[in-house]
Amino acid sequence: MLAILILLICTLLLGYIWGKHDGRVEGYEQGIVNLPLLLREQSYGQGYCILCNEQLEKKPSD
Amino acid sequence: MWHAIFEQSCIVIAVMLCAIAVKFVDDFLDQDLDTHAGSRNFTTQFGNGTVVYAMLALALAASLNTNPSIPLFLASYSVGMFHDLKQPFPTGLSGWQESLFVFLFGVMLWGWQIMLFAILFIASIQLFDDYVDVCTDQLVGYRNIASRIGKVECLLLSIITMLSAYWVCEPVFLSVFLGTFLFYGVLFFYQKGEY
Repeated sequence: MLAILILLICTLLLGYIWGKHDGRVEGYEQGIVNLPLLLREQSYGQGYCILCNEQLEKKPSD
Repeated sequence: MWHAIFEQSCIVIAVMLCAIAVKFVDDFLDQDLDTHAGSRNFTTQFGNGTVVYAMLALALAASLNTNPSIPLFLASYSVGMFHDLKQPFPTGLSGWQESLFVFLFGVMLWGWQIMLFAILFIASIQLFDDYVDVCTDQLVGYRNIASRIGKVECLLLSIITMLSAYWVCEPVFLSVFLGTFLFYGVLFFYQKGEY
C-alpha cells in the first residue's frame, strides 16, 4: 500500500516536471510570436512606430 | 507495557537532543547568513559556546539512546554537505566525498537499514526546510534546493523521501517523527513564529 502511494507521488512529480517543461517551451514560443505585436501596439500608443522610428501624426487615443 | 512506553519516550527525547545538536552546529556555521537575513541565531546568545552545547546535547542523546541518535547525526552531516558538493574541506576532501565517506562509515557501524532511514528522513526535513525558507534565502542571495529545482518539486520530493523513510524502517519512524515534530514546535514558539 505504502509502496503504491510512493509510486503515485513519484508519478505526480514526474508529470509535474514534464508539464512544467512543456509549458515553458510553449510559453517561450508564444512569447516570440506575440512580443513584436505587443511592442508595436505599445509604440503606437506612445505616438511613434518602432520599426521606422517615425513620429505618428495623430495619436490613436486622440 | 511501561517498558515499551519508556523506551519510545527515550527515543523521542534522544531525537530532540540530537536535533538541538544539529541546530546549534548549523547556527554556528550559518551565523553570517542569518545576520544578513535577520533571522534568529543561537550563536548570538551563546557565542562560541554554541558548539560546546551542541556536543553536550549529542552526548546526552547518545547516552539516552544511541541507535537512532548517532545515525541521524551522521545523516545530518552527510546531507548538510550537499550544499557544498565541490568545495574543498579542511580534510582535503570535497563535499560529496566527505558526504559519501560519512555515509559509508555509518553503514559499516550501524547497518544499511537505519542509515538509509536516517538519510531519507533528514533529506526530507532538509527539503521541507528549504521549501519553507525559499523566500528568506533568496533575499540574501542564497539559492537553496527549492529555488534550484522549484518549490512544488521540492515539496513533493520531501513527501516522497519521508514516506520512503517510513517504508524502510517502520519501528522507529513514529518516535523519530514525534521527536522532530516536538523540536520544531518548541523552536517555532521560541522564535515566535519567525521560523
